[in-house]
Amino acid sequence: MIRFEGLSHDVEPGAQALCEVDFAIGHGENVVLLGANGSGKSTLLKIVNGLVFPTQGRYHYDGEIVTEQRLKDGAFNRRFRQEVGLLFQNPDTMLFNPTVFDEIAFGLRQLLHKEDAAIDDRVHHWARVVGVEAFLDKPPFRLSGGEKQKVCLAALLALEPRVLLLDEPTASLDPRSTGWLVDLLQELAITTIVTTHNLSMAPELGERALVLGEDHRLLYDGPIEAFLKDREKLVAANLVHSHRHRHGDTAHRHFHIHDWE
Amino acid sequence: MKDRIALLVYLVAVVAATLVHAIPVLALAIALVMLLAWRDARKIARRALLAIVVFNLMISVSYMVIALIQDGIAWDYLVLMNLRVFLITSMTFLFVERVNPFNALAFSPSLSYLLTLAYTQLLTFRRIYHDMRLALTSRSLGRLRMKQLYRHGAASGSFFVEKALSNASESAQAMRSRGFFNDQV
Repeated sequence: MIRFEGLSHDVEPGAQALCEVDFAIGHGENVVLLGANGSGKSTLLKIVNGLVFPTQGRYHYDGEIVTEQRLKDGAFNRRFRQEVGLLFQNPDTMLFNPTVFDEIAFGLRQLLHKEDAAIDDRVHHWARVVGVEAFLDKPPFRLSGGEKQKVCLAALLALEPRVLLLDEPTASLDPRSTGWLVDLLQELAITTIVTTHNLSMAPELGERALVLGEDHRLLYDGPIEAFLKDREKLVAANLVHSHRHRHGDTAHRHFHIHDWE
Repeated sequence: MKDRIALLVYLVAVVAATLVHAIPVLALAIALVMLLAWRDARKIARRALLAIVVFNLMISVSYMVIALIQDGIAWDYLVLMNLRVFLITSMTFLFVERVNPFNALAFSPSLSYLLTLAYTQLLTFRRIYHDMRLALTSRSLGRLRMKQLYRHGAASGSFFVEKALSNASESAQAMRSRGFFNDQV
């Protein structure tokens, strides 16, 4: 369904975000994208979402090569935007409608041209699922970070996408909402690619890991549990760290994981 | 509807204020704005004054210097210009105080999107600026020198320009991702 073929992306000449990345993701797969800060995770998601384009190599979606030119085809663009949704790391960047209702209904009006009654039903359904039904008349910018994140998610899910891309989705969520999100993602029978810094959360978000190294190349592609047991690869990806710490009276140093957002 | 009429009145008043060249009429208009503001008159006058004082002082002093070198200061022009800026700024603050801009612009989806985006940025920037001031206070012993305040102002200004550009580009990508520009495709 999604295939990267020798894909590289330069942010500007001499500043590479991705280098010769190859992978394929099938329908319904749940993939966790890991990597240190600046390794190119967000850029990879934006390429999958057709927002930025490869400098070299190809990106295939559902058998078609996605290019800037291809997305100028109105019918393809409409289908692509409906089928592939991206939840941005900062929910503020996604919110521009005067009420939560309009925010969730936006894609339905813009991409699916639904009737008002159908829009109303679907907006209420997804608002109920993510728990923001009480805020439908409120402006989204008045909500908390976690509530905004849920509104953005409802806006994407209302389109019933085939692929959902989530950039650090647990970053604005409290522990209860994080648990809720994990449950929700496990119930969705769609392809998901999720980036996270939280290594203990990673196995809950997918079975397969794609790991980007600090050189912007794909360092690992395989089962997530195996990756988390591979200390050499964890160190190479800069996903573990070492510092002195104490156990009672003794202090020692070794590589370990801290889960932070 | 009430908010939409208020928007229309405000826009007409702004245009009218730029067309009036009589000092007594502008002074009367300011009095009328303060009367409309009633209990908020002092607050609005103070805000308007603070908002324009630096810019207007720079313009007025520059004008006076150039006018002195050339053929003398036209005091009535100087008073007229300052009164006009004060009137328009006071009207704007009164409008923002009394009218819900989201209701006023509800007739146009595009203007509503634009207002929401601008308002979200405004809230974010206000929060960041507040934190910046707190951080400066936290790192300072006693009163800051003017030079330090200027440096802080310049650093904050440049941060906000860069942040605004980066946010605008990220928002445009998010809107594209959600099909906002699909009508143009």
